[in-house]
Order: sequence, then C-alpha cells, then structure tokens
Amino acid sequence: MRGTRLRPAWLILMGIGALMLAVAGCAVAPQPAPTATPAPTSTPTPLPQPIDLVVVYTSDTVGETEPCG
Amino acid sequence: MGGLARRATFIKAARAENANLLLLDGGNTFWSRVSVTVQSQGKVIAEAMNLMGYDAVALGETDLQLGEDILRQRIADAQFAVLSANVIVQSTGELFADPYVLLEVGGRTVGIIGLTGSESLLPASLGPEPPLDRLVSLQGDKPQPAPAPSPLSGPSSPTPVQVADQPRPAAGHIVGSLAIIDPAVALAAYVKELQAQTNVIIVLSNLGWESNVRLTEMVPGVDLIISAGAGKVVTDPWQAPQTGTLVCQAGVYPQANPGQLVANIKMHIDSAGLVTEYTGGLVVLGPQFADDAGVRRLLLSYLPQ
Repeated sequence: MRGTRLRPAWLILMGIGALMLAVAGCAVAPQPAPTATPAPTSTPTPLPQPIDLVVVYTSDTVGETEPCG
Repeated sequence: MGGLARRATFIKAARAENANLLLLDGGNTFWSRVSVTVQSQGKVIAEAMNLMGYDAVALGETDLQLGEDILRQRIADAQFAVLSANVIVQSTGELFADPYVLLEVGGRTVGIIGLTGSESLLPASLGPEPPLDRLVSLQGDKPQPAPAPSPLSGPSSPTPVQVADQPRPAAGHIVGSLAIIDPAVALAAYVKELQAQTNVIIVLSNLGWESNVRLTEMVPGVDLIISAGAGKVVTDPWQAPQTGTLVCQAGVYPQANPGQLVANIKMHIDSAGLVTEYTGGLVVLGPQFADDAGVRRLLLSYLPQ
C-alpha cells in the first residue's frame, strides 16, 4: 500500500504542473477565426418569362354531336 | 359523322402549330336534347372532350338540369377540370365543383376560374353598358377575319366588388339540390386568392355577354373571359378600356345550330401578366374538316347497333 501512495508534495507539484499546462494551452490554442456572418440577402424572385399563349375555346354546344355547318 | 369529330380535327391541327395551347369551354356542355347525349346523360360528351384533350370547362346553368348525382358522375368521367365558383350544394352550403384550377403552360402558371349562371344574376344596373358594336348574328353572318394585334394599356383600379363571407343563392336560381350564388362576389374572392399564385387569370363564364362585360369592370385582375350563354357570337375579342380584360364568345345559348363554331385567341402575356398583344378569330366547322377517327369511333360506339 505504501508504494502506491502519493506524497502531498507530489500532489502539489502535479497540481501546479497541470495549472501551468492549462494556462499554456489556453495561450497557444488556436483561436477561432472570426467569421463574418453574411447578412441575409434578399434574392429577387426571377420574373416569369413572357409567353405567347393560344386559347382554343368553345361554348354552348349543349351536347351536340353532329355537324351543323 | 360528327361536329365533335370535326372539332377534334381542328384542335389537333391547332396543337401541332402552337406549343402553348389551352383548350377551354365556357359551359352549357353536358345537358342536351340530342338523343345520343340524352341517353348517355352527357357521358358521350365528357368522353369526347377527354379524347380532344380539353383542359377546363365551366359548369353551365343548363348542365345543372342533369341533377347533382349525374353531374358528379360526369365530373368523375372528365379528365379535365369542371369548374364553378358559384354553385353550391344547398344542404351543406359547400361548393359543388372546384372553383378554379391552376395549369402550367410554357413555364407560366395560368389560373382558370369557372362561373355559372345567366344574365339575370347580374342586373344591368350593376355595371357599364356592354359594347354592342362587336356583336354579330350567328344566323347568316360569316365570322370576320381576326383583327391586327392591338397594343393594350395597363389596367387601372376600378372599385372592386366586396367579398362577402357567406354569399346567398339568388332568388330563382335554385336547381334541384344545387343553388347558384352571386357570381361577382365569388369571382372577386377567387381572383384575390389566385393572385397570390399567378398573374395570369382566365375566367370561363356562362353568364352571357352583357353580364360578362360588366364583370370586367366589377372585378379587375382578369386577363380573359371566355363568355358563354345569352348574347351573340363576337367576331373578335373585346377589351375593357378600364381593366384591360379581354372578352370573347364563340357560342350562344339558345341557338339553332350549336357546336358549329370553334374559336381561338392568341395573347402575348408579359412578365407582369399583362396582355400586350392579341388576335382572335372564329372558325365554322364545315365539311372541309374531316372527321377525327378516334372521336368518330367513340360516337359510333354510342349509337344503337
């Protein structure tokens, strides 16, 4: 049991070392590059294309099936 | 063999020449006194129109005589939209048919609204006088050649019809279990709804010529009204001076020789949905048009063996 027990002095030294490593790590840790958040841009809705539209139409045929002309 | 078979031939030729084509009917289509149509309760007409590739048809006031159940069957038969924004089922108050349809043509969305009724639904006191100089008699007069393209001005802002929440059927416009409600109110509501989705709107209306001309001022935002019902055949499209809405009519109810005419209108529609040029014309389906074989076979299948 004696061999595995750490002395208080060692504990203090390990604590100081850990503290120094943490401070050094913070100092050298790469800082995240400031990224510019793009401002939301309003993309204009594309206008529909002009169209040549043909409408063929009938009406009032009241069920007629035979030629009348 | 058939006016329908000749019509099919004309339509096939028109499709071959025009990629961006809509095939529409203003209404009064299924109900009939013609024996083959009576016996099939309008089914032969729905099937012939399927073969021709119709895109949309307005429910006509005469069609309501078939009754709610038969009409539901015809609507189920149709591979095209059967529209009415102002026919309701009395017992529920719900619309009987789809009020409109959105169709894609040449990369543009076109909204088509159907209106059902007759002249008496829109009294003359509600709108401007209709233009009478563009009307011709169907009996004895030949259709005139189409006019040259006409530049149009943009629409102005006439006083719109107020949209009511619960339009009521007009007195005397109840047919069996169905009722016709105020067409102007219904149109204003659905034009407003469609304008969120498209800037090209066509109305199929069998209210008759004079009422449809009044509608152009009462409800702005419509590009074209295919007029049907009472009135006379119009040789070339008429344009409302205030709103730019075009009105044209190829048939009349009643008339001696229904189904002998087919008409067309070619419109250039700009990005904003304005019609900037148009031409139109009527064609009499005479013997120069051969019968379409497919429609001919269909009609023969309905004849007694």
